Amino acid sequence: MGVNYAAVLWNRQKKIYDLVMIGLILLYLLAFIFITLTFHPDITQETLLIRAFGTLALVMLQIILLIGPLSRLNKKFLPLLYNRRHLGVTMFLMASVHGIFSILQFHSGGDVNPLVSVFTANTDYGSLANFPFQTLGFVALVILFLMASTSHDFWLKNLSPLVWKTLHMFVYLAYFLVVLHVALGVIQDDINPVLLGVVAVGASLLIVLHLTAGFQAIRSDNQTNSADEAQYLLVGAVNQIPNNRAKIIHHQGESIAVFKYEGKLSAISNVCKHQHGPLGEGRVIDGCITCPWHGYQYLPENGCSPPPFKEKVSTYDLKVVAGKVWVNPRPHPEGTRIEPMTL
Amino acid sequence: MIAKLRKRHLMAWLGLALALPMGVIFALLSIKERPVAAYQQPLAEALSKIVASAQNENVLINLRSDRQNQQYQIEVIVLKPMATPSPSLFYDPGMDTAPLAQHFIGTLGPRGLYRFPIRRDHGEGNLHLVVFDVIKKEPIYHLQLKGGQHGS
Repeated sequence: MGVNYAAVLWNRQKKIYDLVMIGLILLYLLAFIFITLTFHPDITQETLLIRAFGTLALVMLQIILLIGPLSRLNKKFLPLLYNRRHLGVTMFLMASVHGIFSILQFHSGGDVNPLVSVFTANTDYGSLANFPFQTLGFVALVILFLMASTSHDFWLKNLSPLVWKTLHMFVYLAYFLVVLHVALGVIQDDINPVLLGVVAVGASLLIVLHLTAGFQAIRSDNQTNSADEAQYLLVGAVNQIPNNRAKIIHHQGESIAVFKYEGKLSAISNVCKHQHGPLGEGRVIDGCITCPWHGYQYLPENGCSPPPFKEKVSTYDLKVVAGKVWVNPRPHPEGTRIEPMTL
Repeated sequence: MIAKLRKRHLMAWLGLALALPMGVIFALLSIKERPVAAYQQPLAEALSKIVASAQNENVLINLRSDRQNQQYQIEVIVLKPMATPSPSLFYDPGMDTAPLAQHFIGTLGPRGLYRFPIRRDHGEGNLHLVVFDVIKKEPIYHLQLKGGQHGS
């Protein structure tokens, strides 16, 4: 939530996240090199590096894609989501090392430009066994580059969250191309059971978790809350809402988060202005509703980010009748102050 | 995430749930046995004597003969793969000219051991060899074998 765009807004959590990430990357590379040299002492340095960075990028991409549904299904995984974009940019760098070494190794010895050679050395697109799999990896790398280069909030702000999110959904196409790059490439020459297992288990987990989280979200979107004569929707009993937390209700494609804090109740839109994160899954920290995805904050009574920040979300009217909370689903304009309901 | 994006994600993963397994299964079914082994010449037995050797950073070349000096062979140990995909070993015709088909000794590949028989009269004299890139039509390096001495 920056007033000015800085390259990276560091904080303690991000530093810890990145240090753990770098440590695990180094550990993976060392373990891969040690195990490969133990079983294949004749392997060349170039091949070793190509395989180490290629498999690392594949594993990282699968982990990145797992974080989203895991966080939606279980809040314990939300800390992984917090700095996922650093993981994404680092994964792109690892994939780039794999791509650059591969192009140098396989396409720089001829009399054709290496980049042209990637697309012209093999044009047997009609054959699965001899498919030019390197082009699949190259296109995936271009997609990952576009995503890494637009990962900064500057692009998010200028493209709008909806367009930015839609663009970044191309990661799914990139993942599909990467899986085919592996299946039509190295696996055609050498069915490595470990690599095949990483692809099969990773893809299966991703499919199951994404579909589970997706259908669960659709069920929540479609749930209906009973309404009274004034068209207020029933949220639930006051004591069903944990302190400093919210209960989320859905109505005609919109969702509303009703927060309980300091003996008061307030309702704001459940959609964060940053990346459309679920504000209702966040907490009230230092008097501000804090988005669980990237820490954007809003004041409960007016839906405004505290100065000097300028993000605003809609607010809603509430009433409490016989210990039950009701919300008016018609939103007030973003940033409208609504007196909190005192309990 | 808003409802519209949630639906898009779900649709994308419904598509991937079909496409990913199909892609992997078709790729696995398309694997065929490579006929490489059928085309590879069996490695000849090494002749007993090493008459001369030459080495550079990529290869160690031995000129071998039997005890009676009746048969000769060139033994090439590729120590480090060459950058070119098509290195071949030729008799060096000299005068900086490209070798012809009659100068061909054998094709080199990845790291490993290669043995090629050569004519007795070639084995008895000084051997001037060239590892030649047949695609780019340029020499990779020249080697010279002198009886019992290291070449360059």
